[in-house]
Amino acid sequence: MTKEVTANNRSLRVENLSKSFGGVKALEGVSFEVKPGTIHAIIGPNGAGKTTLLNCISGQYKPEGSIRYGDIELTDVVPHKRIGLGIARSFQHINVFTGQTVLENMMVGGHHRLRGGLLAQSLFWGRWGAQEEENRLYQQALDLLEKLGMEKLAHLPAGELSYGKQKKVEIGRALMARPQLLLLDEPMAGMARGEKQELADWITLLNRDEGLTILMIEHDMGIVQALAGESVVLDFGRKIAEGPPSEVVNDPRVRKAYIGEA
Amino acid sequence: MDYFLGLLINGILVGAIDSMVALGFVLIYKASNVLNFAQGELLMIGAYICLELVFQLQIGIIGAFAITLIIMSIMALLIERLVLRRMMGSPVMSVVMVTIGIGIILRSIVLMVWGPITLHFPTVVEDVPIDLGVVRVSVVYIYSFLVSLMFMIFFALFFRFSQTGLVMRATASSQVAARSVGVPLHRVFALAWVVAAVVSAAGGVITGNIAGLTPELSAYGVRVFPAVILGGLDSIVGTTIAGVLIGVMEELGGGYLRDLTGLSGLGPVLPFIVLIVILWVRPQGLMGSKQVERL
Repeated sequence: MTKEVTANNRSLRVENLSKSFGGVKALEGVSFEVKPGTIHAIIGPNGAGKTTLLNCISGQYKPEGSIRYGDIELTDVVPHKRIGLGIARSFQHINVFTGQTVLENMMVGGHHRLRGGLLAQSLFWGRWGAQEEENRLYQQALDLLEKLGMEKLAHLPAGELSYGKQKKVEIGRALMARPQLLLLDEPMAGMARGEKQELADWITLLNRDEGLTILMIEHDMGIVQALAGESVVLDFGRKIAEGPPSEVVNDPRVRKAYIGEA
Repeated sequence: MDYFLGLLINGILVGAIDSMVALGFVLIYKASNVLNFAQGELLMIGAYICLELVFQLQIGIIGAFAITLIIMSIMALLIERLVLRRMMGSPVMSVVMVTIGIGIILRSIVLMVWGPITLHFPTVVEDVPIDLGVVRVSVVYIYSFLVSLMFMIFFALFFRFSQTGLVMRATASSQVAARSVGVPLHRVFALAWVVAAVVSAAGGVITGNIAGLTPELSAYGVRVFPAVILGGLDSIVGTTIAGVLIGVMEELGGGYLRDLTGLSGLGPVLPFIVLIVILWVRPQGLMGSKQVERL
C-alpha cells in the first residue's frame, strides 16, 4: 500500500455484497461495477440501503461479500488506510470538524499525504519536524479554497458556515486527500437551487478535467440525469435496476419502488 | 477583604493543578469517548515512581521527574494497547468498569510496594512563605502553580499549532470523519493516553511535594470531577477555567464555612454541591457541547 497515487484506471467492483444489522438486512447480494473516470449514481427510496452501501465501501461497516478496487480487496483494508488507495468521501449529515477553521479542516483532509507518523508530526520544528511538508499542505489548502471561492472563509470556524458552505468544506476536505474515487452521500441535499447548480458544475469539472471517478447518492433525478452516465437502483437492500439514469427512470420496477406505480 | 483575597489567591494556585489533571481526563474522553476512572491512580503512581527514582538514583527531582514522564508514557501506551484497544466498540459502562479495574490494580501495586504510610519527597525548595501583599503564600505553591501553567501552555500550543494537535482535535470533533481522511484512530487514542498520563504524573509529583504521598492521592481523580463537569466534559478550555474556579470555590468555601459553622473540612464538599447544581441547571457545563442524538 503506497501513498503514491497512480493513474486512475481502477474500477470498483462490488460483488454479492450483504450487510445486516440484527435481523434487518440493509443490503442483500448487491453487485455492480463503477468504471474509472465515470460519474455513477446510487438511487433509490429512503431506507433502500444507499448510505449503507457507501459506508461499506469507505470502511465504516464490515460487510459480507467482496469489494474490489483495481486488484485490491477493500474489505481486507482497514478503514483509515483506504484513503491511501485514493478513496475519499463526504457524509450525508454534515460532518465537518465544527470547532476548527475551514483551513484546518482542509489540512486534516491532506493529512494522510504527510510522511511520518503522528509522533514525528508533533515536532513542528527541527530536523525531524514536518515544517516544510506542512507549509506545502497549507498552501495547497489555500489554493483549493480559492478554487472553491471560499478563500475569505479560510479562518472562520467551519461550524459557523451555512449548510451549503459546510457541505462544500466537507467535499473540499475529501479532495485535499487527492482521491481518485470520490464517494458523495447526497451532496446537494438541503442546498438552494443556485448552490446545487454550482456544485453540479463543479462535480462535472472534477470528473472531466481531473479524471475523478465519482460515486454519488442523490435524490434529485434532474441532477442525476444531468450528471451521471450510469446508475444503480436499490430498494429494500436489493439492486432492482441499473443503467443510464434516463433509462432506469422508465423502468417499471423503479417507478413502482418510487411511487408505488404498478 | 484581605482574607477574601488570600483565599482567592490560594484557590487559584491550587486550582491550576486541578485544571491540569482535569485536562488529562477531558482529553481521553474527547479523543476516544472513554471516561477514565483511573485518572487519580495514574496521578498517584506517577508520584510514587518519581519518589522512588529520587531515592534510588539520587538524581534530584527534575531528572527524576523527566524519567517519570517517560515511564508514565510507556505505561499509558501499554494500558491503551493491551486493555482499552480491545474494548473499542464496547458499551460505555463496560469501558468505565475496566478503567475502575485498572485503578484498583494500580492502587494495590502502590500498597504492596510502598505501603499505606505517608512518604515524603526530600525538600526541594525551602518552605519559606512569600509575601504577596495581601497574603503570605508558601513558595511550594508558587512553584506548583508555575509548573502547572507551563504544562498547560505547552499543551495549548501543541494542540493549536502542531499537525498532530490538529489531527487530534479533528478526531475529537468527529471520529468517523477523521477516519475517512485517513487518521489512524488508535494512534490518536494512544497519544491521548500518553498526554493524560503525563499531566496526571505531573499533578501527582506536585501534590506529592506539597502534601506527601499516600495511596489516598488517588482520590484526586474524584476531586477533578466537578471541574470536568463544570467545564463541560468535552471542552479543554472550559475545563481549564473550571479547574481554577473549583479551586477558588474550595478555598472560599473552606474559609467562610469554617468561620460560619466552626467545622473545618467543608471546603472540598462545596465543589460537589456546585456539581449537583450544574447537573440540574446546565448539564452541558460552561463550554461543553449539547448532546444531540441524530439518527
